Amino acid sequence: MQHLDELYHSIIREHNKNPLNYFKNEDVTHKIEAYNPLCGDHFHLYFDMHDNRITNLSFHGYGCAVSKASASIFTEKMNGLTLDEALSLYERFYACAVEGKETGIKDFLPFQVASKFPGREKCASLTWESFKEYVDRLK
Amino acid sequence: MEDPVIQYSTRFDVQAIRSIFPLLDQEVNGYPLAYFDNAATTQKPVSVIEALHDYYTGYNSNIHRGIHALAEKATEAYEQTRLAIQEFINAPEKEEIIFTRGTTEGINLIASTYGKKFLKQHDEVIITGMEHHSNIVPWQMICDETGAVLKIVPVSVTGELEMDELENMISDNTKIVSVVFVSNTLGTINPVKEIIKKAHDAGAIVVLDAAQAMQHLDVDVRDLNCDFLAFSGHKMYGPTGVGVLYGKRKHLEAMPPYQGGGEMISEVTFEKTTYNDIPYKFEAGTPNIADVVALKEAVYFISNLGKQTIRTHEATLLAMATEGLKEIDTVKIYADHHHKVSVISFNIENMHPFDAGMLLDAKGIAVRTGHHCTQPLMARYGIEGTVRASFAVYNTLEEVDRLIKAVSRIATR
Repeated sequence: MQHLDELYHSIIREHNKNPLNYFKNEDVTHKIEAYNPLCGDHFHLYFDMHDNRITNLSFHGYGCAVSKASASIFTEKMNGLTLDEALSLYERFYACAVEGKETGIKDFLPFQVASKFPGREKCASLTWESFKEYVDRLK
Repeated sequence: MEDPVIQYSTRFDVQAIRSIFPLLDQEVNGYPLAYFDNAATTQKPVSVIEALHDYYTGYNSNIHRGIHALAEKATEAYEQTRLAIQEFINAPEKEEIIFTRGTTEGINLIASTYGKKFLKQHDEVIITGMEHHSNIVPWQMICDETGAVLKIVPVSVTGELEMDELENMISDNTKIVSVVFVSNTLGTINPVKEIIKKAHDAGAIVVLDAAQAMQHLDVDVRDLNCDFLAFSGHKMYGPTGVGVLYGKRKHLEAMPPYQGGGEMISEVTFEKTTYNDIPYKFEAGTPNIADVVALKEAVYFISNLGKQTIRTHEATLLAMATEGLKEIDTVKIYADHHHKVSVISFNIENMHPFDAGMLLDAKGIAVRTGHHCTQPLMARYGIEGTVRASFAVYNTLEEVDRLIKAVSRIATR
């Protein structure tokens, strides 16, 4: 099972153990709930948005290794992006984690692997989808 | 640690059983399949698979009212299953056996016919904190509609019903008690006979969700004296899409029909329709003939083996799994008691059940992960889900040993 090893021994496992930006921060302009009642994964995303630029991202909550690692990478990758850039990055993540396509982004690779496992693409895309739904409503 | 296989043994010839379950003989992810998702659905013996094949290749025909030979043969095969089920659960009359799509439909049928006719505002329906969603939602729906009140018997920390609470809850207002015979998540066998006695003393009727009972326990509706009993074929080695609802004649006759259509009528005019007698009143439309026919073979499989034989073997598997998993420090088992069927629900510290399930799958071990359609029970334990291994008669000690070793490896990584 080389795929599984790729998935667990690399980025996902490390992010799950030591997630980046893993803290609550109520002093931000935006707070999003990312919740999948089917599996119980439940995170909150925190970030500031001024002049369409996203900063100060963090997250906190409960989820499987894949969803937690994905949220961790989300907070890292989105930091400093404009809303348009963020949506464009979302599209690339979606192509990778849901459609299983190559994106050339190294940190996304394990989620491309995850997309091949039954039911795991939802874990990978939870925070990203919640972000997308949220900003779509803002528009 | 000694090799647990040596500590446990069984005289039961499990290989002979395995040989009649063709699906089991396969590799998954490079390992022999160890199928531990039996509480979700069991695999099917050759006799069941062949019955389906024989029906479709030999005598597929619509049942009842047919004048030709195939129709008669199909009707006879269909009705033979009714007799087999009657005997299987010791029902007084064959007319008390209704074929459904499964347990869920059985419970919905009762809630929306018996419930709709007999529940009034302020009446009470009692269920328990360990119900499957299929024995929660239909009652919520009918309570909303009728103004009846839904009450929940709490579950103890060890995964058993708080019987004192149940006793306090039952009153003259109680009209229906609907309880799971065996918990799909915990494996707990509930004291249903005692519950039925208490409910009847208060004038209430009792519905048993027996989806997880039929494949493990002797179920005798006369001895239990339950008013209704619902179960599914596919969890007891039968086909999917077919289930049984047993009901006492007096209730079934008093209930309005569930669905309207063919079969359930005796005469239709535009002015007035008269309904057919039971059980046909509740079997509107062309039923799932093929699966009903094949279900009989599942009943024979269980009856020929004997529930006692099945349970003895499964109890050995459960004991071995429980002991082995308990030795792993970071594993927490839910409902570690002795009134159980061969279901074990657990979690590994700091690991989401999905991750554990995926890592077990990589070793060819199929378990179920998540809330098992018992979200209120998960909430009671303050968790989002568990890893559940559920054993059937064809599982082996070697497979359980593989599970223990795999969990141990995952838990210590």
